[in-house]
Amino acid sequence: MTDELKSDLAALAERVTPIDLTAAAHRTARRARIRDAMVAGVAGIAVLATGIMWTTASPQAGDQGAAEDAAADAPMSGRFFFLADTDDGMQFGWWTADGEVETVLAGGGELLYSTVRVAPDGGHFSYVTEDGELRVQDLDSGKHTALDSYSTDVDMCTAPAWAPDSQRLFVQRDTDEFGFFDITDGSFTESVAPAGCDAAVAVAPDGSDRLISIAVEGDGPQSRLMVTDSDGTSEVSPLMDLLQQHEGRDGYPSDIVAMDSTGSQLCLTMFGAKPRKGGDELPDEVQDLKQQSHDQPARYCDGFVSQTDDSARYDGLVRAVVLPTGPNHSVITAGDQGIELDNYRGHKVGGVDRPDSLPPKALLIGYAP
Amino acid sequence: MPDASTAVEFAEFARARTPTLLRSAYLLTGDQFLAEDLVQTALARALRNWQRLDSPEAYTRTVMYHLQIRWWRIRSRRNRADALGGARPEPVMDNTAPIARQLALQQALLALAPKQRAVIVLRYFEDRSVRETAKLLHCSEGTVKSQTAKALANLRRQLPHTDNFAQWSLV
Repeated sequence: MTDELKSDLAALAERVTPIDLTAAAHRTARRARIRDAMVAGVAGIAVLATGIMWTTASPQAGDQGAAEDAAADAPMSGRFFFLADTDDGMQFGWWTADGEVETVLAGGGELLYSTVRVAPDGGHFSYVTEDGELRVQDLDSGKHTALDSYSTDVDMCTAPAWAPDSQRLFVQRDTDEFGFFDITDGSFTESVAPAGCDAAVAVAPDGSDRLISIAVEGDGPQSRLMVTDSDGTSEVSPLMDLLQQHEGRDGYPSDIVAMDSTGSQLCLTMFGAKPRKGGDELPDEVQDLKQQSHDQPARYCDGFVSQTDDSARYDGLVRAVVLPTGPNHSVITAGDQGIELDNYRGHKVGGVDRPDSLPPKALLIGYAP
Repeated sequence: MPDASTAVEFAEFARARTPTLLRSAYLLTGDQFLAEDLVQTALARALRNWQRLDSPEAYTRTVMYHLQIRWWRIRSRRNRADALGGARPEPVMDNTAPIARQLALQQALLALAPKQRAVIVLRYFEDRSVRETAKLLHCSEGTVKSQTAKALANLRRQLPHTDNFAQWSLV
């Protein structure tokens, strides 16, 4: 009888030792990328919009704002990379503003969606398979390269991340082993360990590598944005002061959603921060500091694009943010309203609708000019 | 975007529901640490989407089952067990002892395909209907029925000496 199976299952289940996972869940939440929200189609997926449409923002107050608007008033002529969870497995590809859609990988059932990364120049993409194999694919030739095989027993806190040069991939190979794979020859060069998890790679002013990560403190939601240089020295980013000044002392960074090549612009998701609906101008000190060195914060996003003059447009979660490298410091956001190009101050200067042939659950994960 | 009270609300939810979630996760993974990982990850997803959830428990449970089906670590563990070869204990046939019986059932469960294991746990541990199971796994009721039948058949094959196991049915 099934009653016997039920009783045996119930007895077997009692063998597990109950523990409190609250703090562990907080830590995991920090490590997860915002794109993880698309798991198994359970969570809401941003629906990307079609065709192309352009609007130009009204001039901003001050020369700088006007200059930014002018700089950003350029077509998004590059590739928008998407990842979609379809009935046939994960699908990866790209589309362009003129409606061209190219599927690069379909039926990627073994692909771990949270590990997919596109090189900054759009030439390659990388991912980890369920079996722990790190693969890189050349997007022009279609050539696949297996770079490494991870131990799936290790609780990795950093997914492979591209260096700004688009030739090297920063990886965590084991609990304490970090380094860069050079995709041109497959060589591995060990590097210093980041001070926290969810590391992203930037270029320091002297041209060396700089790791930006989020370090957890204790069992609560407290975390700090850390900067680690190639000599192994780590420090708390001065951005923390600004973040908490703006978000309140209970606001902590949980994920690096996007970062520019120098690490001077970051979009972060925040945990525990006061709800924001936008409407605030960038604080003066941010405006003053934004053109300076890496550790002077320039702009941040917190799930909402909070530093915008036009709050009504962002009255909802922004599901992806891409910070393309370039002089205009523009930000591409994918939210419920489609894809938008914003200038540095959060003003909309362009938009792209979604091609009809794009999978319905396509999530923007990158843009290459 | 969570507000300041989210941490408190989430902590209350997590502490109250984790024991129940862990029991299901243990049946799905057959391992204390993997079960903790599975529940921890599902809770983290719930935390990230907290303010948009109508039913945190339903969401967390759904995520947990989908992760179980897809998660690499589960596969890794199975592969690791396979790699052990001769070191892997033989199924225990003396089912008169409750613990031996549980271990035999555990091994049989782990040998099932993830989706089959999920339907067994949902149907016979959580006591969910075919419709509820289908909704939770995002599949048709027909799929749940067929997966259940296959799973039970596989369990019968692996546990031929267990009393009454042959009588398991779709009832």
